[in-house]
Amino acid sequence: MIKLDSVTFSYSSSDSAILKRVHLEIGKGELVLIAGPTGSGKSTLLKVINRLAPQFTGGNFSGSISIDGRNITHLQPNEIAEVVGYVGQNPVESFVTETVLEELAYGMEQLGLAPDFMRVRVVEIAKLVEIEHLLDSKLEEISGGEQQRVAIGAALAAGQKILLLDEPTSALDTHISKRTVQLLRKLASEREVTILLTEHRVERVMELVDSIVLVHRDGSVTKGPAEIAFNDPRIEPPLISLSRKLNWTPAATTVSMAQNYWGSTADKYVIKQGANHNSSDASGTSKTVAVAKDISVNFKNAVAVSGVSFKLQSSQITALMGRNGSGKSSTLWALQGSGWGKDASVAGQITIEGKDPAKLNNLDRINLVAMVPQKASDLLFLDSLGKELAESDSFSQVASGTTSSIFANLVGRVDPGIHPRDLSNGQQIALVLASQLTKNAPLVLLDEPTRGLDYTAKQELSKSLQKLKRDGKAILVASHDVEFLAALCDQILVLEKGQLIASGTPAEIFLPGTEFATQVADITKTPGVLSIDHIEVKHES
Amino acid sequence: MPVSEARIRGSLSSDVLHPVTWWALGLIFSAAAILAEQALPLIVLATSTVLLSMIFGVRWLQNMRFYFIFAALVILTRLIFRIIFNLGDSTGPFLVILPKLEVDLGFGGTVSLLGPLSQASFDSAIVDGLRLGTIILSIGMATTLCHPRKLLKYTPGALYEIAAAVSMAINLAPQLVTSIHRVRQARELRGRSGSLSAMTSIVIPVLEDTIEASMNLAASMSSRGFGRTGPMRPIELKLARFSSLAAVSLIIIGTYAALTVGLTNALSITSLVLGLAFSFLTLKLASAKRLRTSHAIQKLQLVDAAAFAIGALSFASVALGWWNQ
Repeated sequence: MIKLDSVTFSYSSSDSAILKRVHLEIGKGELVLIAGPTGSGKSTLLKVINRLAPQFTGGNFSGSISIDGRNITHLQPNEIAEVVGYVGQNPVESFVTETVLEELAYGMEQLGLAPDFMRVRVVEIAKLVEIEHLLDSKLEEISGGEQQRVAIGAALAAGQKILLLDEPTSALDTHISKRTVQLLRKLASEREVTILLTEHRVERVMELVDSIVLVHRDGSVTKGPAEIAFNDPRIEPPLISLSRKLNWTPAATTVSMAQNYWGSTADKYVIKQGANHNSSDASGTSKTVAVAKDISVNFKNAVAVSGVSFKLQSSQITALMGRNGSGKSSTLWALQGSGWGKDASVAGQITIEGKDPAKLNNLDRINLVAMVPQKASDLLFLDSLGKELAESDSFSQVASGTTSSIFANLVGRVDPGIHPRDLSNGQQIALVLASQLTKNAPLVLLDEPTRGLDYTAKQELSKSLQKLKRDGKAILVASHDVEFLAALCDQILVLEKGQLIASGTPAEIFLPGTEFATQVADITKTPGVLSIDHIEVKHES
Repeated sequence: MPVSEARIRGSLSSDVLHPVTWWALGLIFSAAAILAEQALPLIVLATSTVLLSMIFGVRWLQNMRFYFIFAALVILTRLIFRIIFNLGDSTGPFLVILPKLEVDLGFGGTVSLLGPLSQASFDSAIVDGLRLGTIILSIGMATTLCHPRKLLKYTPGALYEIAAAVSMAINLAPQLVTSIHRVRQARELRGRSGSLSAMTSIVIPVLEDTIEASMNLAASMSSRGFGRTGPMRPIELKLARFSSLAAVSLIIIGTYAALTVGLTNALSITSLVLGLAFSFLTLKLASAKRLRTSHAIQKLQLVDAAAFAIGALSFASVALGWWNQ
């Protein structure tokens, strides 16, 4: 269906090729996961296939691409629009019209399909992606998961046989992202749509894909079945790591496969319970840094948070979980003190080290609370990475190179001449985190910090946060990423529709079989065993 | 629930009339306002625009609020200017008598400010202000009842790209406001050292944000087929080129003739009319190669004709001076 022959691509801002001599063949109706470390050319690969690169991004392209035997190398994106549908990283930014109905029809209108056909087709496609009840709704009024499904429907409405998706689930909670991936599986199996998607949390999609394409750091690309050997620890999903640790061969690629292995060999392992959760023992040194008492956040027409109370201790990492729209970001902004958006009104009592952050001036607030917001790139405004790092050092009055070394620990060395906008999502988050950490505030807030990070980067982030914890900071992380949180947190707060519905240790919250179960929890079905670190192979003696 | 609300409103929503009709009405009202010389017809026009948006608009106040404020400001400014720069008209009756200020500018003699304000000059200021206000409200009504985006469908194919660009530009304004707010908040999160100006830390991210959003939108539009053209026969292409050249030349000749020998001259009339005819032909030919269709084209109906008639009637009553009799 899709054939790439000796494709090489480089962006004009960089000398080295992000894709190098790529040979790739993808069959009809194949569901393909594109994985690779942070900053590798995963998104670029998608853009090259639908010709957005180099037509929209600039850069140097060589090689040839054909779809169904037709050479498309010299075509514009709009000349292959009836064959290839594309859903970008942020569906909201790609919407052209106002309502769901118009959005679904838009592509067909541009391609000049007959109005009668279109009217039938719009309803058909809405049913297919399960949004037929939303046809009259405005795009801005529906939820994130629904917006994602509208974008998928709009990309397929004109009968496109190929669908390209750039991180379709990174902004969605576990429940909704599962549903989205299942929808993609259905489209591939029942409609023979060829689907390529990029995704960092390989574990969430591995079970459902037909094959995996790996984009390596040197620009080379390999393709194999889902049982492929992940030879790069940066992109090795937990199931494979677990299989390797426990000597399961062939490696488990599905949870049920791993459950079978576990069932037959469980007596060979030792459980190392609560490896990370001994901070309560050391409560003698732990003190309360922040107290939120009965806080509510109201927007003009909606209540985001109502009556939430919790405490954050020094030397403790707390996770804030909940579905999309449950009030996580609003809670963080309330805690930070500036409130979220001009329409937000915050009620209740917040005290951080005895002070109310909302009443402080900006400089004092920065020294009290450090925050990494969801759209981290907003905090970047200089024209090179090197200048950003130097600015951060000089603002925080630390030795020059401090921010740079924190950054390098997170994502490795990056050319300081590169423009911050050309960094990958993961690298941008790392840069902002690094500059915020140099300020040495007692409370650190992070909103979805793992978006776009590969496993190694997440581990590095995890290590940095644990180091902060040892330094006595109180840390609050809003995230959907149970795998990341399980090995890290001491306390979990769960929000639902703006209310605190549960709180407890990871072992109490990440129960097998629930929405918040980690894969390891689902495999072992043993309370308290949540991540690979909790399991050891017994030594025969 | 937005969906059910729209359905219940059904017959009373702005869909009753064709998008083009709403804009035509808006323009007719503005034209009538320009010609009106008294306060009463202007008040009637302004009230009608407000009533129409109230009846047919969903969440009309949200959209109209901006236009209300703008119109009020214009009227107020007009009045204040008249009070301060109260030139001429010293015949009574006077409304208020303010002390006259003579200001010596140092060149061109003195300028008198304030002074007695006559009823007549006050009235004319009110009418001037009302006129501008009514025009603003008429356009406000049109945008409230029919988003400019909806008009896109009805633009001729040859102008579609330009119309799309205009419509995107209109949408950019609110996005710019949210973007500025977000970036400012982000800047406060990070703080900045003294060596950085507000310029670099706000203007650059906002511009980058806006450009990036526009690029994303453009990429999305292109990957969905925007700007696709169908095949065009060589003869059609030649004809289209010839007619566009003819249109431009004729209009230039016509304008020149109109300015030199007068509009009533046969030369200027024929060349202007022919020029317009060729323009339409060019539009028609260039539109033919477009593929674009629409899933729900509204057709002009009897209601639209009725609305046009009412608009024309109000325009005529003002323009022909029936009002004064």
